[in-house]
Formats: sequence, C-alpha cells, structure tokens
Amino acid sequence: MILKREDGMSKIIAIHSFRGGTRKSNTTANLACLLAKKGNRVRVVDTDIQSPGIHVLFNLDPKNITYSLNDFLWGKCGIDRAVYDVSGVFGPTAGEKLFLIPSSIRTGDIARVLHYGYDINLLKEGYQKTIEQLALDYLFIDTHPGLNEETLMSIAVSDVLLIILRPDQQDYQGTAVTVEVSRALEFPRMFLIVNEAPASLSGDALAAKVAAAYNCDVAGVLPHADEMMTLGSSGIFCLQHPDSASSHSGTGISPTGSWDGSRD
Amino acid sequence: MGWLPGLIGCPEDRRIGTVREFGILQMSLVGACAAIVFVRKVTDPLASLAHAAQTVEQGCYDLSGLAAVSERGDELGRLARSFEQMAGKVGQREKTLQRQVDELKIMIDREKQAQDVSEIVETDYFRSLKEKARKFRQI
Repeated sequence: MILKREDGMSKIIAIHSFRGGTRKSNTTANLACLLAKKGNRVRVVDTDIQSPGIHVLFNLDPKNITYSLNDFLWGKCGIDRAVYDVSGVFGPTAGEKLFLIPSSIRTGDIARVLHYGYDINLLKEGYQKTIEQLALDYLFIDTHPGLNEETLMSIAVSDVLLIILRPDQQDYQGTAVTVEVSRALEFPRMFLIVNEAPASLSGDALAAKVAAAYNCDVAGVLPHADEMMTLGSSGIFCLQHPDSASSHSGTGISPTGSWDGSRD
Repeated sequence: MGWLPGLIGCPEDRRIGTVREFGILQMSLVGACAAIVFVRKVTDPLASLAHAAQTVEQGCYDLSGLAAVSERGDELGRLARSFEQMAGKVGQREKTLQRQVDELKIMIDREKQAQDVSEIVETDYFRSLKEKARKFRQI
C-alpha cells in the first residue's frame, strides 16, 4: 500500500487541498478509521487551526477538550495531554482504537496562532513523540486548505502528501500550484485523490486524465455518494456504509487510480 | 427378412424375441442420434451465448459471432437477440461515458501557475522550510 513505509516504520500522512469543500476532513477521517479497523495504530492531528472541524466527525464534544494542539504549540502542555480517545465511533463494543489531537475551536486561541504562528520544530517533535509513545503505524494530518505558511509548515513534516481535488474548474489551477510547491518541498511521495467525481464518469479514465494533467500519480477517484451528503458530518461514512464502493477503496488507494480494499 | 439370415431356421418364439431385441437396438440408436442432434442444437447456441457474455465482460461489444443463434426462431434465438440488444445499449453507454471524460477539460494556465509557484518557493521562508523538511526526513 502506498501509505506504508518500506522500512515498516510509522508514516506521517498529510491530507491537503487547495480549496475548501473538497471533503478533506471526511477523507482523512475515513482513511484513519479504515486503517484502524485493519488493526493499525492510528492517530489524527487536526492542524486546520483556522477552521477546525474534524472533531465533529469523531463526535468529540468541544466541552470535553481541555487541552488542544494550540496549547501544545504554545508550550502549555505536553502533546500527550492533548490526545483524546475517539474510538467510540466504532461502536460501544468494538475493539478498534483511534485517537485525535484536536485544534482549539475557541476564537481567541485561533486568532493567537494566526497572529504569532508556531514553531515547526515543536510540531515535528510533537509528531515524533506521539508516534514513539504508541508505536503508531499512521499519523494523519488534517490541514487547512490553501498555501499559507502554517499549512506549508504542517505538511512539510509529513512523509506522504495526499492532495484532494474535485473535478471542477475552480480546483484545477490552485491544485496545479499546490502540486508544484509540494514538489519543491521534495515530498518523497505525493498523490492526488479526485473526490466527488460524478458517479457516471469512468474512474479509471478520469484518473488517467488527472494524472496526465498534473504529472502526478492519482491514488484514487472517489465517486459522489448521496449517502455521504445525507450523513453530513454526523458520522464516518465508511462505518455507516461499509458496503459502499468508496468505503472499500479507502485503505486500498493505489497509484493506478483503481480501488482495492484488500491492499495493505 | 433376407437381411436377417441368422434368424432362418430358429424356433418361432426365439425368432420373435430376437427381432424384438433388434428393434429395441435400432430404436436406441435412433434415440441416441436424436439426443445428440438435440443436445447439439441446444448446447452449441448456449456455448455461443456464454462466449458472447465473456466477450462483453472483457469490454468488447461486437457480437457478430452470435448471429447464427439470434436468427433462430425459438426461445434461444429470442434470448440471443435480447442479449445483443442489452450489449448494444451497454456499449453505447460506455462510449458516452468515455466521451464525457474526453470532453472534460482540465484547464491550467501554466504561465500563471509558474508565477504563483515562484512567488512562494523563492522566498527565504520557503527555502528555510525546505531545509528543515529535508532534515526532518533524515531523522
């Protein structure tokens, strides 16, 4: 599987998109859940400090967030204090485990990070510590859309970059810039994911077209799913609709654009 | 009964029995031949249909090999004609989908892209970030 490092060590995977509304957080949450269900030790970090939201998908009530990623970045706590068990998404009796490091949703906290920024070394140390403490297999980074400094910082420390775009003219130009900037950051592995593709289009043909336009491998094409729209952000799609083609494809993202849930 | 010389001189009831046995043999042979003809008339078209299904499965919608079966006036002919119609519609739909993808234009202004990229990557901030990222990956 593309997300697995050859040396068997854990992998930091950043999921990014140039524009908002590409269902980036949804994709992150689904990939994390699918890999956790396969027995991997997985954590998710919400580095979308400007507009945090992935905690909603994991049913983490903001009232229960005492410490967040923001607190860690300001030196107010260790990274381990900002970790929350969100395994409840798998059901009350399920054995799978999944943890989230959320960003603060408090306006003051958001403004402070935007104003003062944070230290990339501290962020990397935090990632490293959380990986080592739990011998993680995967650390997923949910980013803020666009190409500002914070976003570049949060993706720069990753091993794999997944860039999500929709088959929409609004996404093409910005994605082209994102791909080239990421290339300049010398990402060892970078893939595109086409999300919200019309169900009527052939996934393979679309993947080939996108791969040629960006000169970048396409990890997969996710078709539009009405069930996901209906679900809103009230749950994780792959857990609510395990039989869906999109769910199956989650952990088997392959650089050929085909989906194969058995690959790992 | 000149063609049954072995029966001349046999007792009457034995002769009748032998004739009956021979008749059964003849009927069996005729029945076997009829069965073979019948089976071939049914299995050959079914084999053609199975082959046509495999062809469609492989994405080829040219079913000219099915012509002999679809010309039949029986149920197998009807089945073959329905299959041809269905394959034709699937093939048409496939072509439409392919055309939709072909018509999908991914418009990228390369000049603007290069300009936007250079505005980011040629900053001191980016160079410093790139250096740090390189070191992180060596850990």
